[in-house]
Amino acid sequence: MPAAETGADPALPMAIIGVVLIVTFVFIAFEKLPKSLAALLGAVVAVALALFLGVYGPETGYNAVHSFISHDLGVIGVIVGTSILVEVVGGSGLFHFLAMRLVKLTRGDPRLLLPAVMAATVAFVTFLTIAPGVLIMSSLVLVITRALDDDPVPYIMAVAIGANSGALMTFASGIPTLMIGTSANIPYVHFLMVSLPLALVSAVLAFVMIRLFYGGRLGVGLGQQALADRRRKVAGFDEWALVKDRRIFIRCALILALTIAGFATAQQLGVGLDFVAIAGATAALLFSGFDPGQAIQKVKWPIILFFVGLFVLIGTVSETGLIELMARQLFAVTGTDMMLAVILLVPFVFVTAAIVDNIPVAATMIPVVQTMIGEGLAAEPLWWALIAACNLGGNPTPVGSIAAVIALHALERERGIRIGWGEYMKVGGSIALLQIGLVIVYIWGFWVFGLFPAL
Amino acid sequence: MTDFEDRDIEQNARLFQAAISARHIDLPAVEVKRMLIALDGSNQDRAVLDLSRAVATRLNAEILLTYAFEAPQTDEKHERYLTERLESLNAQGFAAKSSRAEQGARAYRQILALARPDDLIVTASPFLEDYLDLEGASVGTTTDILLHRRAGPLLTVRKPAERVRARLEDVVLPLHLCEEHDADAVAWALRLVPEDGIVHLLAIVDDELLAEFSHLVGESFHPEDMSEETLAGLGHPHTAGLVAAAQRQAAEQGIDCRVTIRHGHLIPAIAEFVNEEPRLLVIGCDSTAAAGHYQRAAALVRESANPVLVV
Repeated sequence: MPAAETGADPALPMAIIGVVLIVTFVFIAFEKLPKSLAALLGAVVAVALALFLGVYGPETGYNAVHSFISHDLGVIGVIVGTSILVEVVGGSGLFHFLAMRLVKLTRGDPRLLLPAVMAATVAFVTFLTIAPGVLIMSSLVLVITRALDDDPVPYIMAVAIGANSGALMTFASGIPTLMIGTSANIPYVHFLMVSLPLALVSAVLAFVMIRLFYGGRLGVGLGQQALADRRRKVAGFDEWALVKDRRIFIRCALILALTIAGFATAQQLGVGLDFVAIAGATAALLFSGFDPGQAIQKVKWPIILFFVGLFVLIGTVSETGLIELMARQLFAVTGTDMMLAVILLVPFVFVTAAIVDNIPVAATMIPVVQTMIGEGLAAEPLWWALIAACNLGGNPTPVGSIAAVIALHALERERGIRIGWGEYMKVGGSIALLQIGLVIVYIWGFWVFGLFPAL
Repeated sequence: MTDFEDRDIEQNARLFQAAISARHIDLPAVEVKRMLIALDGSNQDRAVLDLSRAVATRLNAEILLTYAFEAPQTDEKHERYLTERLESLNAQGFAAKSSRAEQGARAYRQILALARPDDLIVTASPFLEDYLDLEGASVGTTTDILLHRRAGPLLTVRKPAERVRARLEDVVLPLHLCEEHDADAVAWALRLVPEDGIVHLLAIVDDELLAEFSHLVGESFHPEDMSEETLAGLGHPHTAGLVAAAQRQAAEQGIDCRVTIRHGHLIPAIAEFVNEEPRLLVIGCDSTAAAGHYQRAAALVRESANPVLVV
């Protein structure tokens, strides 16, 4: 029987299930359990408590749980489709080839290598999403720095931090971007107008800061003979050794391009992004000769289960009224002052994403922002601020984003070099501080000059 | 949350390492001025001529036609046979001549007497069924000896060809057979395949050999944790360089070039792949009979139902 009808204190379910939420986030942040298991456990406990406490309305009952999941089936479809597509395209060697070709274009010049690595990271993450993009780039960095006798640390930091800017570029480049974009119903092309420029500027800012921090370790003051040696070595790299099947190579590039075009035109075509992603994956499997079983195995099922758990948990928390309460509390401080709302939201999300994981932060803040919009604040600045902060908020700490986790792990595993929290936070934290300011100014500028496309 | 595994990092690193350490390999230019086609009056002659025409067109080579009948004296029927085929070739626009070597000599002697060092010799090789009693120990004396004594490339045709031209459209080149002549084999494969054809660079993962190696090495070797590319030796500098050279030239020529990995014992696995479709097998090897790669080449000539070009 719902709590309201029994006369029970509505604060009780809020408090109890709120505790479940916090404990789940602690488990996720400190990796006491695998994240997907933590989310599922939190969901199961929350649902059980919600049923016991009568949180779900009398009309819906347990069916409320299904509605939490069904709202975000589109996100799950995009994850499944892009996972398969990325596995096939990645397996064709196309991006490895392009990465090596880009390195060769620098001719080993240390002044060009760092910006090339950063640019390639942003580009690859844009099209491949974070994990595959960072895997390729961190492996490349470790191999070429060994060959050229360079210090890999600056380059690995560029990969780890640049990847979060890449995740901001398009709708499907990062999972938080995808989640928020779906909830806010943001058309794909709006990302090209709003978040793409921000992504590029944030990447440039990150590059400048990394260059400042690590300038002395980049070897930019080499003499002519040393430069000539590097040129000779790099000229000997042969990217064609990475091509296993040229026909599949070309087909994969075409399918990827068509899928991206499909994302951009999905709304006009009257289909969802999940349809485009699945269609792209199907085409990739059909025309690449890739083993479907192997590709399907590579679908990020743990992430999907993580999502399902989070959606159910957050949905249940929302049913208690806790999210609405949080949003109202925030609104009580900001009122209808849009910029104040952005100024409070951005640093808060940055800090929590740095500690927990940007996916659960995005999942939690989506209903908060929806409530704030319901209270009368404009939608565009809040959604774009949330997208920017969720992605770039992974920069301050070595656990804030999967990019840093992968890149640092690769560095330690392949080269035995460990970047500690101190060093990472010095660089990443400094960059994040500047990026907080950048995001706020950027959102303010768009808002004041009316540059946001209407949602 | 398993966004990645250590194996993913290793695989990517190995791929890039292969590209960095790939040996630079220059593919030689393939120039053949003349093809020496040796007919023997068997029902394989049609296949020999069909394939030779396709090859001569690709190479823009002259043709010298001969027959290697081991008859002690000239037979009018044999002469007419040769003349008819010569006339047919000339009528089709080929620059063909005929010649005969010493009467009564063994077939291989006749062929070698006429052959120049840079000629491509084309000959029939008996059906496998004809030599069942020998348990496939020989491919036929002429082919055996030509394989050993040739100075230039040798093309053997095993069976009547249903789609001869197709055999130039689909070429198989096994990797790891003979490092000294791999580049020659790649050059030949790319020279013969037309623009819409395909070259398979075939790498074999010998699982039994790996299992034995694993047993010898002990716990530190885990083939199950390694990628197929690594197990197939594609990271080896020479192999990586060969793949790179082949892919680069194939891209320039608009040819499809594909690295194919199969599992099994080396020779049977290559033969099984070659025999799946009408294909041409190209092998690089020199003629030192005692050498391992020669033995492997001979075994492949024996096992292949499709034509085999040995360079």
